[in-house]
Amino acid sequence: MADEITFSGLTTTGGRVASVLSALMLEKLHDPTDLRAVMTEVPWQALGSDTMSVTLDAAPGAFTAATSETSHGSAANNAAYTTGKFDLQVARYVRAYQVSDLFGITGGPVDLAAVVDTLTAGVGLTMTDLLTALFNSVSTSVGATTVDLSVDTVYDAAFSLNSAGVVAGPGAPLTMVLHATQINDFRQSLRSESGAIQFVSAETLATKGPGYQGTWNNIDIWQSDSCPTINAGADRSGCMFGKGGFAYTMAPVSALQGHIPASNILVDAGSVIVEASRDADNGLTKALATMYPAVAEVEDSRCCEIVSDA
Amino acid sequence: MTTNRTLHLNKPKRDEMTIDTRAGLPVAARNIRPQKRFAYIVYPKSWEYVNGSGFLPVLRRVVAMPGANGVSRNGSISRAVSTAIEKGATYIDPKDPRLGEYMDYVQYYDTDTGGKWFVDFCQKATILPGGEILWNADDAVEEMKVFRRHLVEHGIVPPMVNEVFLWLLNREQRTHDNLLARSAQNPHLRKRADSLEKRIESMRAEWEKVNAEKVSAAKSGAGRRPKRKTANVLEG
Repeated sequence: MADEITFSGLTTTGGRVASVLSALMLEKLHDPTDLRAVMTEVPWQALGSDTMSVTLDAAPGAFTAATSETSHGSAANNAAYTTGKFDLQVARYVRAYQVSDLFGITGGPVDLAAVVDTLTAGVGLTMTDLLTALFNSVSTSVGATTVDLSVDTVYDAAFSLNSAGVVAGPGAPLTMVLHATQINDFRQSLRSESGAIQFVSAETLATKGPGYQGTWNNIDIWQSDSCPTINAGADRSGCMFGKGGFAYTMAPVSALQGHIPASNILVDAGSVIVEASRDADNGLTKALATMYPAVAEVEDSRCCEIVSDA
Repeated sequence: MTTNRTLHLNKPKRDEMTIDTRAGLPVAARNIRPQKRFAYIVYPKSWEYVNGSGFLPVLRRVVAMPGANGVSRNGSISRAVSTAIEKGATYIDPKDPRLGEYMDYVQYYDTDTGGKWFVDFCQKATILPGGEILWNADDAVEEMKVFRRHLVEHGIVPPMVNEVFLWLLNREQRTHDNLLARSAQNPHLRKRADSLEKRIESMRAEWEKVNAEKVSAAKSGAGRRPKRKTANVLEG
C-alpha cells in the first residue's frame, strides 16, 4: 500500500501541527490569600499629605469616690484624657507586563485581557505582604525558636490577648494568620489532643475569602505563604490579633483620571488603575497597574506574634 | 562557497552558555517574594533561654516596606523605628561601631529579576538545579546566637532585668503545670513536661550563676519603683 494519509506525514507537510493550545486555561500554583478582610479599612482622605493620622480616642475610666459629703478630696481632679494615633502613609506600588504586537495577533488563551486580570489579582497579594511584614515588629510574642507550633502555643497567644483586654466574642473572633508549615504543625498537634477540641474547617462555613482555613475556639485561621522567615530562616512569624489590630487604606487612584488619557485606561477599579502605554516604534504595549496602599498596626496590645519552627 | 579540498575540523569551540547562566536567587519562576530590607529591634521582654547559650535577646525586625507602619515611599524606616522605640524597643543601629564585625548587618543577595533579597548576615543559600533554594538555617542559628550574645556583652542591648527573668520563668512554669495536669489523659505530654522541668531548672541555675550580682542589684533597686504608701482602709 502507498499514499496513506497519516498524522506524521501531515505534520511534516503542513496538514497538521504538533500541538495546539487548549481553550481551557488553568491557573499556575500560587497562594491567593487576601488579608484585607481581617483588617479595618480606613477611607483615604486627600487633604494635602501622603500620611493620614488616625485618632484613637481615650479609653473611658471609672469614677472616683469623693472623700466626704462636702469635699471631693482628689476625686474631682482632672483625669488625663490620653488619646493615641497611628499613621497610614501611602506609597506607590506598581506592576507591569509588556506584550508585543505579535503576541496580540497570534491570539491564544493568554491575551491582553488575561494579562490585565493577572495584574489586578495582585492587589490582594500586595496587601497581604504589607500586613505580614508587620508581624515581627509586634512587641508581644509567644512560641519558641525552632519549636513546632502546638495547640499550647495557640492557647498562649489567645490567653495573652485576653489578659491584655482583647476579648473575643461571637461577633468579633480573634484572627490568626500562619504560614502553611505552622498550619501543618498546628493540625498535627491537634491530632494528639484529647477531648472536644475541634477544628471547623472552611468547607463547613461560609467562605471568607482566599486563604481562610477555618475556625477553632473562636479563632478565625488564615494561611499565607507571605508570613516571613525570621531568626536566620529558622522560624516563621505568624500573628494572632483581635478586631482592629491592623488597619489599611487604599488611596483612590481614580483621582488620576485627569492625568491619564481616558483611552489609555484599561481598568479603573477605584483602588487600582491599569493603564496602557504604547511603544509604537517597537510594537510593544505595556499594561501598568498602580495602587497606593498603606497598612499600620493600630494598637500593639491587640496583637501577638506567633513564632515557630520553619 | 564550496571547495575541492578536504577539510578536517578537529577543534570544536566551547559553548559556555549551553543552557543558561544563573545569576542571583531564582524568584521569577517560582513566584517567590524576596525578603525586604529590615533593621533589628529588641523589646524589653524579648528574651529567651537558649540551652548552652544562656539568656539571649530575641531580635525582632522593622521591615522597610513602603506603606507599612509609616515606612515612607523611599523606604525610610525612621517613623516605624520611632514607633517601636515608643513601645520600649531598643533599635540596633547597623552603623553602631560597637557592633564590630557585625556592623552593617543588613545584607542581601541579588535575585534573578534584578532585585535584592535581604537576609540575616549569616544566611547562606544553596540553589538546587530545579531552582529550589535551601538555606543553612541550622548553622545560621548558631551564628546568630553569637551575634545576640555580642549585643548584650557590648551594651548594645540593655541586660535582662530580674523581673523579666521571673516573668519568663513564670510563663514556663505555667506551661509545665498545664502539661502535667493534662498528662493523665494524654500520656505523651508527660515527656514534654519532664523536659520543661529540666529547662526550668537550667534557667534558674543560669540566672543564679551568670547574673547573681544583677539579681541582688535588682532586688535592692526598689528606689526606682513607685513607693507604695500605707492606706488606712477604715478611714479612707
